[in-house]
Amino acid sequence: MEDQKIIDLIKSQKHDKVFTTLYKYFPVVKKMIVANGGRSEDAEDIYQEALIFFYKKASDPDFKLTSSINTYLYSIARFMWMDQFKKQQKQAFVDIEKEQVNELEFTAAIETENQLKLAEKVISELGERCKELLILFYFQSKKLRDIATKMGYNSENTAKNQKYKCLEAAKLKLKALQTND
Amino acid sequence: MPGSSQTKAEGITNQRLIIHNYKNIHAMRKELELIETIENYLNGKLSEADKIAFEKRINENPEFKKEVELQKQVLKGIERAGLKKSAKQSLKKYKLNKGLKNWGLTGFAIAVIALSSVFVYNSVTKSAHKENAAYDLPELNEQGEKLWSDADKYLEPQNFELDADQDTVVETADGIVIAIPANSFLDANGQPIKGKIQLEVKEALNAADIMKAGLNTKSGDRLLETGGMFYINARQDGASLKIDPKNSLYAEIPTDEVKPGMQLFEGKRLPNGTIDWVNPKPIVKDLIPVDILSLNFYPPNYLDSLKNWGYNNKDKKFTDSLYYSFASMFGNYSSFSAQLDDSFDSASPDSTKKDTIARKQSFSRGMAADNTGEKLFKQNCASCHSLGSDRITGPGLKGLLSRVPSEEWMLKYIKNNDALTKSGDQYAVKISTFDASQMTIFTNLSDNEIKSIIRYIKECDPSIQITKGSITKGSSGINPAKIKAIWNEKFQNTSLATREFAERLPYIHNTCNSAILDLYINNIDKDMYLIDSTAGSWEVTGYSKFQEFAARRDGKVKNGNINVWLLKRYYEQKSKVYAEAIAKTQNDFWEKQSHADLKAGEKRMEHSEKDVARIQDNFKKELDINLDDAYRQLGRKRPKPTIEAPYGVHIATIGWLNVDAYVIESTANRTTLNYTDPQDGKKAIIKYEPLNVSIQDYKNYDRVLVYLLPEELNSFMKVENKNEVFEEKLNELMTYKMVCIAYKGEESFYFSQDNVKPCSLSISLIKTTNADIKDNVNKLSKRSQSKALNDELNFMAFEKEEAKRQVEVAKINELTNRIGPVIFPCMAPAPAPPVNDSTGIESYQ
Repeated sequence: MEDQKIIDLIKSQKHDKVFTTLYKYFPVVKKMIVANGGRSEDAEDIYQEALIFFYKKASDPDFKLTSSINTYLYSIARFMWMDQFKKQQKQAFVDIEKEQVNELEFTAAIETENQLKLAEKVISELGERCKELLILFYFQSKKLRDIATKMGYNSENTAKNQKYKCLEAAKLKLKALQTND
Repeated sequence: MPGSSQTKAEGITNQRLIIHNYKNIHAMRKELELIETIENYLNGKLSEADKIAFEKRINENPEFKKEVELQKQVLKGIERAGLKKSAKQSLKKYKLNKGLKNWGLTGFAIAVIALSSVFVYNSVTKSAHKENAAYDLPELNEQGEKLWSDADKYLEPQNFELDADQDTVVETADGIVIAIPANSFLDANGQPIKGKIQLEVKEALNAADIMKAGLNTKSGDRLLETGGMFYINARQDGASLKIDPKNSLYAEIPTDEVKPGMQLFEGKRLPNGTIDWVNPKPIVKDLIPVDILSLNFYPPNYLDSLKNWGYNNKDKKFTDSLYYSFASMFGNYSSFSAQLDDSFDSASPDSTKKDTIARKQSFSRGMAADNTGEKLFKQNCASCHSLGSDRITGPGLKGLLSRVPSEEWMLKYIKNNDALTKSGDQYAVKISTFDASQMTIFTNLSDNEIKSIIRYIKECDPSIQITKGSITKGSSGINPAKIKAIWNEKFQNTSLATREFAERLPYIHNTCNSAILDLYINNIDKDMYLIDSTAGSWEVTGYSKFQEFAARRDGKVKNGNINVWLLKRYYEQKSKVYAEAIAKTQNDFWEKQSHADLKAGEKRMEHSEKDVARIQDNFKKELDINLDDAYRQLGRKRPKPTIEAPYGVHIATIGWLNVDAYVIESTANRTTLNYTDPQDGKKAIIKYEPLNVSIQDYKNYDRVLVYLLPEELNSFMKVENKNEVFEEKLNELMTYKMVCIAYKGEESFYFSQDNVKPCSLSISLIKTTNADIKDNVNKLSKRSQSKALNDELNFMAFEKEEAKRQVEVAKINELTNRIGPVIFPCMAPAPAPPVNDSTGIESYQ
């Protein structure tokens, strides 16, 4: 699939298809990470982060693709792994791909993303019901009525209340974590 | 009030509880209300008034501001969590797809056929079939037994009807492509089936289907990584058909990643309904030929580099001619043979440098392409020699051509090995000491017959033909002439006309070793993976890449252009022919340039000599005129000239008050003469006054020339300029005509004026043609002047052309220097092509 088509899919928020398609670039990233002291699981984690990062960046209406998505993803993953990796060892870095994007393009953005990781963590620790409810409503933009049916709530109102309760719980947790930081 | 029929005490307690709960509900509601309000704000759902109040609160209350921020972050966290979930699912899908890579085909050999018709299964015609229900199956399976597996029952059959006497290609719903040659099915008697047959295919290429069908991925106890499984059966009138082993089917299974080491397993039904996978065979993928001219045979980065430097890399004529021109850097054809090696000698062990006639003959004989060689071999050699490695009476002939000194030698040996040994031939002697038994003498066979036998042996040799001595030589680059020799129609429908070969070429280029290229060309009839292995075992740059290629098990083009012999000869001959032709062109070009340089030098010499003469002449004549007039003014007789007045004499000291000296100085400097005779006070005045000519739109022209044509002189005067103003001092005793000429690109401009006087003129030039200018110049007064001026203009024109030529040559040099290292990545920075230091003379302006 052409790069531009993928960007279009991102703009239409077809995240499933986008991620599935972009996994074709995973092997090279995996090679790079493994060649630089990472394990398979590290590669998988980093690649997920890179995909998410790329997706959010490309969703921005101002986003312009200056290189191939392949190169871009590789560069992001490389940067993320280097970041993690630097903390562990001081060896020479092995590059698999020659072409890369200038890191400065996304250094700042990645920093911002990292801060959001905390919020994500909070959500994932909320408990399956809350997590599912929040994702259904805010991420997949499902209607409360449908959510109520799907999740077995008595009424739309109940679902709404539950939603707010979950949000509250999340806020409290995040607050607690942030003050601990 | 929610009442109760309890005791008073309970009632009170309940009431308290209710109040307490009521309070809690309030507390929660307040919190939730806040969240709701924030949400409405973030979604822009607050009224204007509320919004303003809200924002005021944010500004005034830092705690509140934090709350809003917190909520925003939580929302972002949710977004991320959602994306993470989606990404995790994609990871799962990816892993599943990757895991499916065992070829579970039920025993087909693999071959390639020509396409003629394609059936595509249209899954729209799916019948209303309940999921997980079993399909109807015929009584007997393809082996003629009553055994069916779960896979047979639960995988949906795809049926095709086709003509057994036609070549057909079938594509399944999941993308398996099966090529079925005509007459590939046999009946019970082994005769090819005719007419309509029913083809049934079942496929399980993804996890869901594999699980549904209860297929396992085990061979005995060994766990296999599967690339997909499918079932195929052909029937006519209900009876299963057999496949002709000599005319087998070819199947291509879609995959994301071609993994080396893949094997073909046959499926054996087990009584418990599962299938066991047995009989692994390595898979060799046949190559599909494409239009050879659509492939890219250039060195890697060649086209990209050209594009980056602003050249048109889509112009094939240009890119071809540029690339091939570098063939001149090889061999005996240029002075750069020290840098680049010619591996021609080694590439063709049997090509004689002598008789082209002899070569032509064998070429045309090859055209007959009959199986004489085979017949003769069978009659004369097969009884004692096998084509493999086993020994009968004589040694096996496998790899023979790599062992013997040359094919010439073989010819002699076969004809009369006794004579050859007795003559002291080293290799023949070696054989005789090693092998006691004597080989038959074949003086009864003609040379050509023996040659055809040798050819046959060569063609049947399953081992790779390696050209003698090829590894050491030819390691500085691939000669473009060789690429030219293969990149053409002659090699259509061969292994070279495939994407697979085009894939390998960049790496072959990078080895900088002609022997590797020869390897592929001389073994065009062998499976490519064999050639890859050989290449991968040599010590060349990037050999590991060839090993990787070998693991892919790419085969060859079946039924392709099998005139291997012909093609090899063609390749050898054409390479040489092209290299010679290209070298000649290159040499011709550079010779032409050096010639032109020489001529230019001569011309410039000639011109500058003329110029010097002209100026001297002009000076003498003008001096004469001035002297005559000075003496006239002084009323004296002019003495005979005693001193030869050379051009540019500057009289520094006037030790002798000779009026001549003043006149000479005046004339030389073109300054007004104002001389007073010290004796009688008589004056001699000759005025020189300036003429300023400014040309309008001066900057638009490439070149502007201004000439003065004094009636009294035999030649012209060239006027100097500072920017757009041309200035000259006019002698009042002379009458001047002025001519202005300008050029812009191919256009010419002109202006002339008779009898110009000292003043400031602004001239606007008129567009004209060169012919007209010549005419105008000819019409001018004196013939000597017009001739001189025309000569001058011709010289200007010549200089213009010269400048163009120099620019062209410089461009060529630049391009050559830049692209050289791209075409020959193993060379040190390319030396400049012969720049002829022809004249050693600086050019005059």
